[in-house]
Parts: sequence; C-alpha cells; structure tokens
Amino acid sequence: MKRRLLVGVTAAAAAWGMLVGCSSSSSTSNQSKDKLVWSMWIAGSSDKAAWQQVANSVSAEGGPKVTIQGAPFNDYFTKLRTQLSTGSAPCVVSIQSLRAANYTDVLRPIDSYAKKGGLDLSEFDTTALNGMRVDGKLYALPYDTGPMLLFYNKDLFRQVGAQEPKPGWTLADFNAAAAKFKAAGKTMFASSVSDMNLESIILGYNGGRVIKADGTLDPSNPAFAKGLDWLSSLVKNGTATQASADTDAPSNNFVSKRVGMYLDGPWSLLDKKGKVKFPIGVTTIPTGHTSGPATFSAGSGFGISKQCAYPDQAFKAIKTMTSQKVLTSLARQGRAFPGRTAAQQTWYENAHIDGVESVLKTAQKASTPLPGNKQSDQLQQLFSQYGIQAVNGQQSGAETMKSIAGQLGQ
Amino acid sequence: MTDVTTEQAAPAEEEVVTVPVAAPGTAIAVDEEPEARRPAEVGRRSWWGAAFAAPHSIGLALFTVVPIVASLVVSFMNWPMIGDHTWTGLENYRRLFDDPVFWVVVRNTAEYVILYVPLNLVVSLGLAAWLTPRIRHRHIFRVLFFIPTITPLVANVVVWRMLYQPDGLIDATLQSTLGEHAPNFLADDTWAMFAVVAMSVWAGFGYNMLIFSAALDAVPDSQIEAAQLDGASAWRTFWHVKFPAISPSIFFATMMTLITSFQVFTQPFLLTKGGPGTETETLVQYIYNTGFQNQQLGLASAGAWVLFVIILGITAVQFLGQKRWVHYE
Repeated sequence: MKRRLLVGVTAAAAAWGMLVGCSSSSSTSNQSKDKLVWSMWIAGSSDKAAWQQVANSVSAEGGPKVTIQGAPFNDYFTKLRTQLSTGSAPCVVSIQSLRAANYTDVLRPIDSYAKKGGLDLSEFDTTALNGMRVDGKLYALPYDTGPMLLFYNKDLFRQVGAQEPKPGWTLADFNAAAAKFKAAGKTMFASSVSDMNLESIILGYNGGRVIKADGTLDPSNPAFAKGLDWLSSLVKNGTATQASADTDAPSNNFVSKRVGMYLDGPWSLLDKKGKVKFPIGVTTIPTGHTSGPATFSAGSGFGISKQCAYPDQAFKAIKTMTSQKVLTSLARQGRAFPGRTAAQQTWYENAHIDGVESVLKTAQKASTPLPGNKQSDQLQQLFSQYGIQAVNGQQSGAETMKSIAGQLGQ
Repeated sequence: MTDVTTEQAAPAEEEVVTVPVAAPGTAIAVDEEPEARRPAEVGRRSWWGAAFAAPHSIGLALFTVVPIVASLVVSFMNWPMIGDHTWTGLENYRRLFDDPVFWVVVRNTAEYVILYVPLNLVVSLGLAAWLTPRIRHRHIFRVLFFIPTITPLVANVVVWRMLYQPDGLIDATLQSTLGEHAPNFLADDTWAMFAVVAMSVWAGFGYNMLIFSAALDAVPDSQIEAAQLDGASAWRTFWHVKFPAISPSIFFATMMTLITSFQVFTQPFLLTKGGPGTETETLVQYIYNTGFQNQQLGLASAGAWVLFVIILGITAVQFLGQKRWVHYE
C-alpha cells in the first residue's frame, strides 16, 4: 500500500513538474554570469542569422554566451514590457531611441559602466548617442541610426518626365514632380500613418510637431494639424495613395511600382534595394514652410535591464555588440546604417547607390532626434487608428488631433 | 440504485464470496465488493483517484482558477504594469463607465454580434441544408467550406486585405467593369465594420456548417418519409421536421457563436487596428490596448469582467429562452 501511495505521489509530482516546466521553459530565469539572454526583434531567417553572428561575437571576445530571444517587431515592445513587469527580464534589451524615454523605469543608465569599461563614447555618431539619452543619462549603446528619408523609383521619375529629387529639395520641387506624375496618370507618394513617418514629413512641411523637443506631448499643435490637412490634400488631388491601417502598405506599393516614392529610414535601404526590380534612389524629405530641422532621426541600440543581476557582464556584451568590428561587419552585410562614425564609410561603399553619402549627410545635418515620451506607444496606436481619417480626408487634421488628445488624456 | 447493502449480507469472514440478498424488484449492488468498504482500501483508491485527477486539477487551478480570481482582485486595484499597486475599490469601474470610448467599443461589439451571428448561422445552416446526401461529391464541398476555418486567421486577413484595398481585387474589378472606384473598405467609416463582418463570416461559418450537416444527417429517414407521404413540401419538411430535430445543435452553435463573437479581436485588430478612428474597435481590443499599450492592468481587468458579465447575462437569457424552441428527444 505504501508503495502504491508512493507511486501515486510520484505521478502527481511528475505532473506538477511538467506543468511548471512548461510554464518556465521560455523564461529567462536561467541567466548566469556566463550565459545571458538578449531580446531582439527578428524579421526573418537572414535577420536571425545576422544577429546570431553578433551574439557569437560576444563569446568569441571572451564574454558571456548570449542567447537571442526573438519576436516580430510589431509584438516586440508589448512582449518586452510584459516580460520586464513579470520579473523574467532578459539582461540585454534592444531598444529604439524614440522609445527609450518609455523604458527608463526598467533600463539601467549605463554612463558609469561606459566610464569603468573605458569605452570612448565620442566614437559613436552624436545624433545616435543623443537619441539614447533621456534626461542626460545614457540608456543604450546605438548600433544604428539615421534620419527619415524618401526612397524613390528612378525609372518612374524618368518615365513621367519628373526631375530626380536632389538632396535638400523643397516643397515647390515636390509639387512640380507631383504634377508630372499626375499628368502621366501615376501616383507619386505612398501615404503612411505610422508615427515616425507622419511626424517627419510634417516636420519638413511646416515644422509642426506633436512631441516637443523636451519630450512633452503637444497633440493640439495647430501646425501639426495643418500638416495633416496638407497630407489629406495630396490624397485628394491624386498625388498620394489613400492611407491604410496596414503598416507595410507603403513599402509594398513602392516595391510593386504603384507609387514613385515613400518614407523610410536608412536602416531598410539596402534591404529594399535588394527587393525592388528597378534602380532605387534616395533623397531628403522636402522642406516647406520651416527653417528648423526638416526630418527626425532615430536609431536602435542595446541596453541593460534594471532587473539584470549581471550588469557588468551585460555591459561587456553590448560593448562588443556595438564594437567597430561588429558594426563594420554588419555594414558590409548591407544591414542598418551604423551608429559608429568610423563604420559608416563601409556602409556607403557597400550601398552602391548614387549620391547616397551626400543625401545622408544632408539629411543628418537637417535632422533632430525624435524624442520619446511615456505615451509614445499609445500615440503610435492612436495614429494608426485616427491618422487614416485625417489623411484620407474624412476628418480635418484639427478634429483628428482633438480625438487623439482626448484619448491621450485618459 | 436502491439501498440493498452488502453489509446486511456480508459475513464476518472476509474471503467468503457472498451473494447479497435482495428484496424482490430491487436492484443489487453487484459492482460493490464487500471489501471495498474497508477504510484502508477506500483510502488507497481515493489516493489513486486523486493522483489521476491531479494533472488536470493542478492545470485547472494554475491556469484557470487562479488567473480568474487574480483578475477580479486586480480589477479593484490601480495596477500599472510596472510600479506600485494600490487598492482603489470600484474606481476602475467608474473610470470605465465614464470613458466615452468604452461605450463606443461596447456599441461596436454589439454591432458586430448583431451582424455576424445571424449571418453566420444563416450561411452555415443554408449550406448544410444544401449539402444533402443527394449532392454528388458532397464530402469535397464540406472540406472546401471547412478550409477557411482551419486556415490561420492571419493568412486569411492578408488575402482579404488584397481584396479590400484600393486597387485591390474588388476595386480593380469595379473599375474595369463599371469605371467606378470601390470604397476604401477598411478605411471608410461606413464600410469598415461590414468589411470586418464579411471576412469573419467567411472565415467562421465552416465550423457551424459541419455541426449542422452532421445533425441533419442524423435526422431519421422514417420521419422525413412520413412527412413526405403526408404531402409536405421540401420547405415544410425542413422547418417542421428537420429544424426541430436539429434544434439542440442549432442552440449549441448559436451559444458558441455568440460567445466567441463577443470576444472578437483578431479580425478587426489585423484588418483595421480598430480604425478608422474607433469604428471597428471592439471590447477585447479596448482591453488589450488598455492593458498592453497604456499598461493599466487594473482598468483592463475591469473591462474584462464587464465583458464576462455581458456574456454571462446573454448566455443565461439564451438558456432561459431555449424551452420555447429547442426540442430534446
């Protein structure tokens, strides 16, 4: 009888073990000094392979073994926030500059580690580094950076007889090209309602912005509302496509030659170049009624979670992951525009796109980092819901921003 | 089982096989061995029972009961995703009911349910009724109609987006035939909800169709023949013989479809992100946004409990109303 009881209890214990095992198999609690987890957004197998090389470089340099925990970009931040709140935080956290402010409560400032580790921060691109600072404290080492740009289809521009846009082109040049497209029965511009795109093109148009330079929200900014009305007028007169909730629509329309140009960042330039079947051009966002910065820049980097029990090892890892060697190698593979100045030349040489260096340099000069805000994730969600109504002309820009402000105030 | 106990008949010696004495007309508890009554054996058996039930019970407790109770507790607290948690009583519910967007999403969810549930039932019942054994290769049709149900919704959404978008299939067809542009279905205030419902019906009717089809096959031929001999038309046979016979299946399908349609999230979230504006934002997306975008888990839990109460109430009404039209044989 005792034996049977023992068997029963063992069976129950085994079942319990299985349940507990299931629930924690993907957790990050098994990190140690020599074994860290790095959370990263992953878009596909080539992406994964590239990041795996970065992870491998850490142990190759004598650092801890870094395991990647990937998630698609659209789910990445939701997942990260949930992980950080449940105590299963990965030590190494990938973060975007515009979201850094949103995560200061869960990330560790790394200035002191940089000093201790003898890292020369001046080797990083200043804009990239500043993007990762919140209230003067550094929260991540940038691996990429770049201002928002316009990618265009050189063939289509030639076909409709429009002049190819030069870096620093103006609203008048933009309108002249749009007229040529219209005359040829083509659509020039792909509308987009994602936050970075909307905010950048409107900044170039009239300097309107919903997040002030100090990071505070200003949803009732009248210039921004006017910018939305301008975008809506582009849809109305056939210069731009109707906006869609599908964030990939602009890029898909560009690749399938339905539009002549769309907004994107240098981080996807070389990837896009490989996907399109026409010569790709790149230019700055047209400047209109503004004398200030004409575009926002953003970048991504690696930080250390506050819960991480091995911050020194984690810093060693991110130092290697953003080293000259690793970033140059990434640039050579045609990935994002590097966050280190010295690695940028390799990227330019590898791009093989006419004038890309002068465009990027002009855009960088005219750019300002897009500041983050605690509510910037919510703002992004609201733009994808309400921005469509404004851009497609169902509501005025002011009405739309009033709806958005109402929800942000909740 | 009547009360003829083995105790009356059980002799003092354990190993003797006994035949219980029963009064005429009463059943005998033959499955109970006399020794089963011994406390040690009872204890041993219940241990085994507990051991077999343990995996499920632990799973139920861990993954169902505890989260449900926890979400109820959280709904009475201010619970940011990161930071201190404080007891706020009914404050979350008050905030919810004061939020105009909450009422908009409740209305949207109701609109979705009112459009989706009848459409789904009509389409699935209609196709099931059509797929009688007289239809050749009906099993192939069944499989075809069931495919959308087993295809991942994300893939369905990608295809439907191509139909709906400007220059998509619908727009392009209209342009080439009538020379008119179709509305921008997913971005238009008037059309967005209809577009979401249409896609959902396409993706969801297969399951109910299969249930109805199986139920219709189980209606005894004799009943149908009797109706036909009495001169009933096909229409009358369907409504007065087949429909009452399959009413328990229809009741089950209606209940399940109602419950799942109140919980709709994936289709609007992927097709429209709840937009344009809040035109297609449903209660579950509101809960998701509140919890994971705005990081207010207390408020999100309160929203989830409101949804639970709505579903519970409607299910209860359904159960009360079933006496009028559901026939159990």
